[in-house]
Amino acid sequence: MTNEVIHDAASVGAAAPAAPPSPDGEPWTTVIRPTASWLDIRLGELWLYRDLIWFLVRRNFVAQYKQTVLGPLWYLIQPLLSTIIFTIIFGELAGIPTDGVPPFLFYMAGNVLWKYFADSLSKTSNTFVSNAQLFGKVYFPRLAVPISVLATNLIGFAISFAFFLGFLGYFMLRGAPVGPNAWAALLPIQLLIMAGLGMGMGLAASAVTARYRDVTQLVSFGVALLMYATPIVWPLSEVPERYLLVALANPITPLVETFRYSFLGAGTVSFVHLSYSSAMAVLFLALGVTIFQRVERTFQDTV
Amino acid sequence: MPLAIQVRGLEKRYRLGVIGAKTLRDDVQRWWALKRGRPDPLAKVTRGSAPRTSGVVLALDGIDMDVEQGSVVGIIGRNGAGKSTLLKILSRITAPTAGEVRLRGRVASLLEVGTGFHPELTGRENIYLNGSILGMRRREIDQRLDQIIDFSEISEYVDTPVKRYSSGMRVRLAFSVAAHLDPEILLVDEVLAVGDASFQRKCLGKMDHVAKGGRTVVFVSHVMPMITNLCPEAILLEDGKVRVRGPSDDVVDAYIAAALEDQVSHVDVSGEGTEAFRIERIQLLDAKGDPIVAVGSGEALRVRIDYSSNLPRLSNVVVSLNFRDIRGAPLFACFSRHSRAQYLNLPPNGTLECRVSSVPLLPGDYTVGYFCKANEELLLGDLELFRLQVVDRDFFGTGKLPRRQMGPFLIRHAWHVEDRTAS
Repeated sequence: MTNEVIHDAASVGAAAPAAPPSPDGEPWTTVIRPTASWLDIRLGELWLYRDLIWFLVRRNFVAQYKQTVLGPLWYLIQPLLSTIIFTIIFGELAGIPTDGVPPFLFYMAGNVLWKYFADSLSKTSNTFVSNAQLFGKVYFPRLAVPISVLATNLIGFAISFAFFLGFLGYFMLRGAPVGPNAWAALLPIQLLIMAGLGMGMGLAASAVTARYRDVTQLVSFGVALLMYATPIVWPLSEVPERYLLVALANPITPLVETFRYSFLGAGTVSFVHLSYSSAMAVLFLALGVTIFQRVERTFQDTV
Repeated sequence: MPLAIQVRGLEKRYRLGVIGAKTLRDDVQRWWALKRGRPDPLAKVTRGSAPRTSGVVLALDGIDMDVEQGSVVGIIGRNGAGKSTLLKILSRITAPTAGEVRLRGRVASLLEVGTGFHPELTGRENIYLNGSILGMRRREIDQRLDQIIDFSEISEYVDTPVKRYSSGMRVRLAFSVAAHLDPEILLVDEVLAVGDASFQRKCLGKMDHVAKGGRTVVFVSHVMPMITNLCPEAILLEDGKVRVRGPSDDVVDAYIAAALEDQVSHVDVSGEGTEAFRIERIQLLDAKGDPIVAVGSGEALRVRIDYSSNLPRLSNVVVSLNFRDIRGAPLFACFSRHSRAQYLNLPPNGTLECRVSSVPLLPGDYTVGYFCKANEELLLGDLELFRLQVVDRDFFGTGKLPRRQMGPFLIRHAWHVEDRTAS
């Protein structure tokens, strides 16, 4: 049975680089030291705990719908309601142009994608706070928790996205000048970049909220504000020249624009912009994971 | 024998001030005060046994320890000696400040069973979730699923959500999962002491089994008979250092000798506990309510506990005072679950008083532990609160008392005679 030992193989990618063999030759499987090196991500160990990630996803999902009256229906109600409200306020009242796309589809596309990002950020940002009990009692790679959150969000996104495709089909049948194109094949990559951005920011925030509980409020406030700095309720094409760079500095902007272009045929697409988003995602992810792992090692002493 | 655990120069420092901060404002306040040369406004004012310099507690102060594969080692020491911190570092829950630990093989800890149970999931789903949290692969759980369910004795309810389980069923299921981990190194904490008797027996049986299978066990406890029975070898920690190591009988004797030196009734426990339940003061009173330092055999005792909590309200609380002899063997418990029909609902700041109408103990030294649960969640786990000194009284009114070998209790009783010769 012991060939299943997790820490054995774990340490190969983990603490092992510096683990010398013991006097009798058999190597140590785990070495515990005060400080881990800066980028000691232990992907090997995380891989060995992949079953845990799967069970956490199941738990998140099941718990989510068992504790609500409407269950998974929320994945449909939430984007539908926001889209209706956006359509009325920004489309009808404010009259913001929507690149010639039916406002309802325009806002729904933005909403569905934004929800995925916002959830990825805000639900990973309380990793430490909401798992304090668990983390205090048993060791496992802590990154399994935020990764499982991302995967759970992906299920939610898939449901909302299918709902969106339904509306898209309906509008196309009615002859609206919209429709998907080849760029849609990039969706998985877009989602990956988006998850990287959300998780990177979320992890950094989680490390801060572990220490300062009041930052939680700042996070939800920040996410709400960030939405208005992202082309969710406005198209990039309407941004005046002098603000264009500011709008593009937001790494989520190209993702939303590409998403809308791929499925609705209206928007701004550029590989340069997308490369910028990817670079930012890598940067945020590296930063987030690093901070997360620094905090992880001593979090229990500050609770 | 090759080593399973090698510990070198292990240190763990807790900065007292840092623990208090919860908001950014607190930290800014602290920084501002320190900048002006004022004392930290948030530093906790506590007195305790741990050595500290300028707000730093040295929970572990240079531990060196080797544990051979297949050995069973007991770790003893007073509260604050560093036992739990050592286990937390060995199980990788927290990182050391200095030093190094090397481990060979999979480590499992029975520090807490049932970690990560989700009430909405069924027993079966929770076995998988809990098992994978503890480090099992899905395949391993598949293989052992039937054994786990059998062992837990809840097979009929395995597809029922855990929220409908009694707490006993939950514990059985949780332990059953942990028991099937099959680790090379098993870490066991004294938390076991709060489980029921059959649960304890199961845990101990499992430990024995693990040890006989050539695995390594590190067992932390303050129940000395368990240490001497289960562990051939023991380590005594004192103020974060290894004080004695050797055959467990000798080490236990050394511990008891050290404890007896410290005859002063340990009522100064201010600041013990957690944010959720902090003990501010303990007072021992006699029947009239006057403070006492020792109680007479058979006399009334009132234990007053002033506590504070950061929770707005503590509901569905059960509390217990656990009386033990100086070797840690349990004698009796004053448990509100048994003596009260209802749960207690406590204000965030208050005083609990336990009135014992007669302390049924021979003269001598005893220890009293305390634990407290709110909504079935442990707020304070069997903390050794104080040492109780029982002094000589003429319990039976005959001037005589039994010898200690006959047991520690004094029970009111009478002998009667009936004559049956006439009938």
